[in-house]
Amino acid sequence: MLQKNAGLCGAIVVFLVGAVFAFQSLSYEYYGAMGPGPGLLPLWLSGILMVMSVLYMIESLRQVVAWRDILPDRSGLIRICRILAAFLLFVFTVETIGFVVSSTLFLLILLAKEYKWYASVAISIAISLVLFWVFGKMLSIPLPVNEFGW
Amino acid sequence: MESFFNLLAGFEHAVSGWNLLYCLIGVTIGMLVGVMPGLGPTAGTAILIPITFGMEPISAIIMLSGIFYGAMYGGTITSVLINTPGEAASVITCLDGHQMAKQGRAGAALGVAAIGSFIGGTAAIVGLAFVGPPLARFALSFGPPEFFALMMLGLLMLVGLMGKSLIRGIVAAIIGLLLSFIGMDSISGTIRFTFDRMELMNGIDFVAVAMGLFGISEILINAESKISVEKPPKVKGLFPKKEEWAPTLKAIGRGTGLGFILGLIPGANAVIASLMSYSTERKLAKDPSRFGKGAIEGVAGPETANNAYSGAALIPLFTLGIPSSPTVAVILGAFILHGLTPGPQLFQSNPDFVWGVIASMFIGNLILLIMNLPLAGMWAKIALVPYKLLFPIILIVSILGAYSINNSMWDVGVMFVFGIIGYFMKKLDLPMAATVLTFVLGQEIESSFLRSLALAEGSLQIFVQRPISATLITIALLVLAASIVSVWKKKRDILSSDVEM
Repeated sequence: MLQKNAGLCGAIVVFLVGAVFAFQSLSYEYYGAMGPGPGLLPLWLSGILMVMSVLYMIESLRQVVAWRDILPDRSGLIRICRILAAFLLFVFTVETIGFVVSSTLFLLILLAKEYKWYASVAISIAISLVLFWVFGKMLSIPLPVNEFGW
Repeated sequence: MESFFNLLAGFEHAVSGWNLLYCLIGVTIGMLVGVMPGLGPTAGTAILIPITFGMEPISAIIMLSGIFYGAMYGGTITSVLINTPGEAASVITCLDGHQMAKQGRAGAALGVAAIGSFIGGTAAIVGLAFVGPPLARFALSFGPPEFFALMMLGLLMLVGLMGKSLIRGIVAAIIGLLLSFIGMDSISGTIRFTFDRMELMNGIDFVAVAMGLFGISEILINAESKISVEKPPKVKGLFPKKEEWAPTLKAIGRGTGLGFILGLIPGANAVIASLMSYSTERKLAKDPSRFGKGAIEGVAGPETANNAYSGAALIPLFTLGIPSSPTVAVILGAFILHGLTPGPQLFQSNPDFVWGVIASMFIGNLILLIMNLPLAGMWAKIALVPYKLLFPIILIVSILGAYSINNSMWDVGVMFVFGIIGYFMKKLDLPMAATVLTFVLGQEIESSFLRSLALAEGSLQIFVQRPISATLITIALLVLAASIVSVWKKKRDILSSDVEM
């Protein structure tokens, strides 16, 4: 049933989030000497969230939202995964190989199929250099760089 | 009268060199955001907040609000010319606007939309200038219980009136509240929910969350299907025919009123404003069958309504500190970032800022009118920039923006995670507006609640003992009750359809 019902999965995730917050709230002071403490509202809210998530589960069982209906088709899925992969690549490499190179690779992954390879490479490098100049030099933001300084 | 003089003083600020430039930049970016399908005003505003970090607060807000109402102008152009709404509220304009374009009357459609938008936007700002201060003065008598009650009312209206499911709305709202508790608590100094991560000491950064939830998720959703655009027709002749002026102006008048009222209500958004205007025009027209085939009122009304809406939506923000829609919540976040607390005190403590921004909105609308009337054709060409080139650029600029918040890749990661969360929230119909509103207001809500309890020595009765807060809470409960009733009614409908099958 979990495989078919996306709403149910969502509701369960929400329930778990509520549970985690509720558990953590127990370690904060509920009511102090000078009035309600930092644990009061989080505890109540996470409790209400858990109750609401159960209602959400019931709602999802009544009005089934199937995974098949909400996820995109194959080509859409591939495009999305491309974006996610490019993002992950950027995040994990930027501090070692520097902004310009990471950004070029990032753009290249996203532009690869759309233009001829030499055009994609040229555009990626050009945009990365422009952004490095605008943000790194003109706006003086300390971008992560490699040993060469870019 | 006092307002009038304050406004004149405000103009002095607004036309001073840099501010005028930022206004121009803001409305231009707003037009671009509106024209480009796949990038909406909420995402555009969120993505551009990092650029405003180094600016004066007044310049930053002038620019960001320029983006907000500028986008309403820009969305019209692509709706009329290429049947692609540049942003959500312009969907209605596609119906009759594009038909008019097909009949060779694109110019008239765009002209009427520009004029209507100008009138609607300006009227709303006049409203802000003259309704704002008295409202703010009234709200000065608000104490913690009243603020809490007001925020509850705003939230319940948002959750109750918007979205298909009340349950999911409440879920989204509570998630936003819980997320806002992460970090150091302003009242007791306790560090909460950081799971021992240093970066969470000051909480999750609002800008990263907003950029992820709105910008990144929108790009992910757009990536699912190829966006393709047709060639726009030529634009000539900017004005409607003589006999059309009267019904057009009436539609503009109605649109202004409708949009203005909806802007004041949290939970309404620009789409609702244009939708209601369209249905109103159709109901009131002498010949409703013209609608859908190029009725000029079908363009004039909705376009005016969405601009009146965006002007009026800033009133609750400025006077009460309550955002009435996601984009306004993002602007609220920007206020806080620049060290300003919107609300009744703002008119007292920073009158220069407030009136400067209000004056700049008049100027912004004027600039937009000038940009739209003769230059519409040029804007349309911009929509032709292929999305496949555009979205990688938007992504990398967003990454840079998120990075520049704290010069750390952590915020980029946060943006990324919230992008994915936003994607699924959209898919599962969990209203992100509720999450972002509560996230922005979370600390305020908690502190007014706790302070109220402290005033009352632990008793919840304080909320009903004080007249203003009692009234607000009653209205809030009525709204909640009304939405529960409507959910029950829908449930019965669904049940009956099951039985028939």
